[in-house]
Amino acid sequence: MSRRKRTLGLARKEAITGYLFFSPWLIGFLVFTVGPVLFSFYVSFTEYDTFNPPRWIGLMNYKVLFFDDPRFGKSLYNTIYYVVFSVPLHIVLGVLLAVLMNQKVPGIRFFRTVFFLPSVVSGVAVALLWIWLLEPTFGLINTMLGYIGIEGPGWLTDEDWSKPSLILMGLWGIGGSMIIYLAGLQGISRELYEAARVDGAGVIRQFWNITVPLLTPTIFFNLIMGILGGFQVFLQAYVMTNSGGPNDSTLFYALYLYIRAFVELKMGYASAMAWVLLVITLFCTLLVFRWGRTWVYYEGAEPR
Amino acid sequence: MRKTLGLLASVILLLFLVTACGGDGGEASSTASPSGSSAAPAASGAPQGGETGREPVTIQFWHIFTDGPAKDLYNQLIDDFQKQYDWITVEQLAVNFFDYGAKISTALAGGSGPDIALAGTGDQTFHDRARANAILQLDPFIQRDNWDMNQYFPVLTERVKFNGAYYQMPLETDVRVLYYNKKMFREAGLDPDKPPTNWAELEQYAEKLTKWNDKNMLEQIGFAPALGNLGFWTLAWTNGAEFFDAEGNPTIDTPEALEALEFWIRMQNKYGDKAFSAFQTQAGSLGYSPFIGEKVAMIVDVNYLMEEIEVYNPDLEYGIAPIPYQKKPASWSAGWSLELVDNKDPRKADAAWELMKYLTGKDVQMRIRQTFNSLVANQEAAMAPEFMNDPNWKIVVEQMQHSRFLPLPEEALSWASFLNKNLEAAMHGGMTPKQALEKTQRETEQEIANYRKTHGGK
Repeated sequence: MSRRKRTLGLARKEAITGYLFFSPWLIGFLVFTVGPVLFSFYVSFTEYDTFNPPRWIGLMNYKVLFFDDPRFGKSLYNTIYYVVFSVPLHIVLGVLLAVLMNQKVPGIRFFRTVFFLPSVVSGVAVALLWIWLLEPTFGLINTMLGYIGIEGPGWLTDEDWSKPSLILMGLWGIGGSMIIYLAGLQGISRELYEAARVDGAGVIRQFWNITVPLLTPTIFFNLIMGILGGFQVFLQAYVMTNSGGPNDSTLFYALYLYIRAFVELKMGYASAMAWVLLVITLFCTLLVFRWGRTWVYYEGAEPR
Repeated sequence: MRKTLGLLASVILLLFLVTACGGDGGEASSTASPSGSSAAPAASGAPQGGETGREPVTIQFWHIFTDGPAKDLYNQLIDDFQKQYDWITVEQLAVNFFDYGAKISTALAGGSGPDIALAGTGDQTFHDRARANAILQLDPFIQRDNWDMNQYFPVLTERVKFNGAYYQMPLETDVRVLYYNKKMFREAGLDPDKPPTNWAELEQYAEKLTKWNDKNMLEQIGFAPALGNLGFWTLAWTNGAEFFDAEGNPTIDTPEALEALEFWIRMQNKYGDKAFSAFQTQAGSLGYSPFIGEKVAMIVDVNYLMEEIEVYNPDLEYGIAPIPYQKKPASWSAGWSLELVDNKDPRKADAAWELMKYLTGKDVQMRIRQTFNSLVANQEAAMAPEFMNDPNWKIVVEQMQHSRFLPLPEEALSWASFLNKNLEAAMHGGMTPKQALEKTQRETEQEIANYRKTHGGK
């Protein structure tokens, strides 16, 4: 009886010490993250220009956003376009690049570094560099296309090519996900490949039946991260295109939110936009998780 | 043992937490409203008696003059001010132009702003600040000291009013004029003393002055509305177009605006997308206006292009003329003004008011004009005889009679970006000019309707 009490007392003391160690982070989290998030939820039901106190208007921000704002639909379309095209491209090219970088060739470490470097460079510097590369008349890309006889489009200044330009530019930073896939590839045991080769499987077969299935957890991770990041795309559009690009074609949702919040000081409206984005992103992520259960194979997990 | 160790560790951690939070505390934006609850608008800023406020007082002055000759001049001016008004100490903070707007908005929202601040004349959030009483109404000060508001250009004193009261004091402004290259005029057989006065002449001269080379690229452009600083609205104003009526309803889709847009597009289409964008890239690498680089014969630009010409190409043979107009002369201005921030401290407000009078008064404005050749807001200073001897300056100052500011109704702050976006689309053939104006009209009306919904029809 008394031994039980002592154990409980010890366990509780350890728990309390644990919480005390944890408390600085927890307090910081509550005050600087959770607090502002809840405040933004409250503000989304108000009209707030930072000079006057927030004025309650109920669901009006949301009503106007959904039914009366043409730029809401446009910016959402632009953002979804970006996500739908850039995320699969990133995955496919990332996997292929990682497989390439996994070859046992002398000097492969050098190549891995070279491909990884662009993702380390600051986003703004990359954006400014690419403004020059994509310049319609004198930029490198159109000049090279000119050598093989193709007249390149206006890229960032062309309504139909502005989003593809940004996707193309984003692909330059594929080194980041490549490294993650590389790590995943290292986890695939070589015996599987040897066994397959003995059974007469060609390289393509080995890729589809060994590499890809065993890589699915990594792919799933990058898929989720890609979707989350894709919905928040802002930096490239902000630096490279003047508040929306040709005919608002690069007015991404986050950029539109920024304009509403910090240029026009309509904090209530922007907060409503932020929460709508949260709900959409949450919904998409849940869908992907559901779908992921059908094709992600975790080695070592219990068979279902 | 473990007990005391655990306790000691927790205390140390809590101490860290306190110091960390203390450091960050200043950053967390306060959610309490600074001045929204002031009972009477002018009460907190009521001026004290003129002579009695002689105890030492320190005021903060925020502006954008971070470096170069502007910074030197303002340092000198502030030093002289402090000598003359020896009980006032001025602390300056220079914030670079791009961050200035955000920084001052945040500071005013958090109640940690300066006492006197630079602001765009009638800028986008000016009415918000005035309505929220974040800035002081200037009328009590003006009446107390009998400050003559007629010493400033009329277009500026109109712009700094809100609900009939003054909230800003104009400091500096600018205006756009037509620059033309006399040497190119002579080469093309045109009279160098007869610049174009209307659109038809502008178009004819432009055609004579444009030169193509054998690669189908532009050697020299006669006149392109997209170059320089014309602004579509300025062109529309010269045709008598108005964008908003007296009640603030948008009147964008009008025949006058349509004529202006068609003229704009016709002029740009003479050059074509490919050749023009190639020209712009080449010109962009010059680092200064292509007019200075002698690649453009006529260009509408701000008055201080004259200064840049002096720096980069002093031998350029050029003339200045009013912007060619169809129905009435017009030009476009922007500018800087000073505001008094309401910090609920009448002594600081008084001291800041002295600085405001000093910087915008005739003597200091003449000094500013002398140093930079900038178009100062004080028209008595700008029109001083020693400056008006320069014929180019005379034309610039005269244009202030016809100049206007871009309307920025708070119900549709982004309307100009709609206009620009649709104008670009019309230029590239994505829509007809009429469609572009109709779309802008619709989008602006929608913005205003949305604003009224969320702002309770204020």
